[in-house]
Amino acid sequence: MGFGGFCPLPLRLGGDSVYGWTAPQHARVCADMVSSKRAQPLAWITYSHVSSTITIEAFHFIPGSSAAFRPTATHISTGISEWALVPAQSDAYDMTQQVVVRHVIASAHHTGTCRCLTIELTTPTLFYVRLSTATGAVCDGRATVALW
Amino acid sequence: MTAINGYPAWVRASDHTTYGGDLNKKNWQSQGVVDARTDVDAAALCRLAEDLSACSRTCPFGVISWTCVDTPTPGVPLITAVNLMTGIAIVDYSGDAPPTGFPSAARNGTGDVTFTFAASYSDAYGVAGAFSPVHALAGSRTSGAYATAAISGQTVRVRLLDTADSGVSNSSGTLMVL
Repeated sequence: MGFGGFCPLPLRLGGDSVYGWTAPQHARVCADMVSSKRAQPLAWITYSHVSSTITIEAFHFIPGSSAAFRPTATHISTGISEWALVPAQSDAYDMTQQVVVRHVIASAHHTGTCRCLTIELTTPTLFYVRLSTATGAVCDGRATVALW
Repeated sequence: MTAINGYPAWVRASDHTTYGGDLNKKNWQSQGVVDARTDVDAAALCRLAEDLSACSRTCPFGVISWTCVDTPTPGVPLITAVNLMTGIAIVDYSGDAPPTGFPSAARNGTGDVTFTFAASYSDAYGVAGAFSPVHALAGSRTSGAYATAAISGQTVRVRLLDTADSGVSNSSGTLMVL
């Protein structure tokens, strides 16, 4: 089965690797797509926290990476920030689901005296990040956070 | 049951051709898309195949969150959530009694846990693929603790330590493996 104007959807599996999409290829797509969706990070955030200013330097989020999707970052005190995600998000087809974060991993960037980082997930959409020196004192710094 | 191409995503062996891409893929008789609402053309399928291949190269195999059980009575770590490529667990389980297909966890000491993964997992079609952790990234979710991870064969040992390198009691962490 070929692709094109004379072959409208539903796309029929079959043919060869040049003109078609075979059932074994389609089956592998389905299995690996599901596998990847289970384990793919929901979001990546890289930010800096200097004095009371938090700057999101890079943000990638499965529903979208534009400014409209960014979490709200709040300065709590030196090195400590609160991050709030929008609790529901829609995909490109307007399918809406609750955002439920269950895992967070973060790493401090080796800038200035900043070495360590801890992160606390308090609700499915709210977490706190604490940047510290090697001796545990809170400090300004830069970090990357991954969410699932 | 249908035959299936290739190996599961965690084997990291798939490329665009596994998913139906082909450098010479063509629309039949060079007839392109007439209506984007009804037609899928060769170019779109090639992009889908390559992008899925790209995602499956770097997607983590799994991410695990847990809480150590150190005081008042030392016990088996409590696993609070697991996302594996093979399935998701969102109900807490004891590290010594994992649901089928999920990693076990054993306490080594205060804030010190070893996770054990199977050497092979199967996908939704029953195709088995070998797994052995090669990347591990651990993070602390307890204030005042930092995390280290060490891979050894099928196990990953994670320690949640304070600034004096002592294990932190009842601490929580998250581990990502690939």
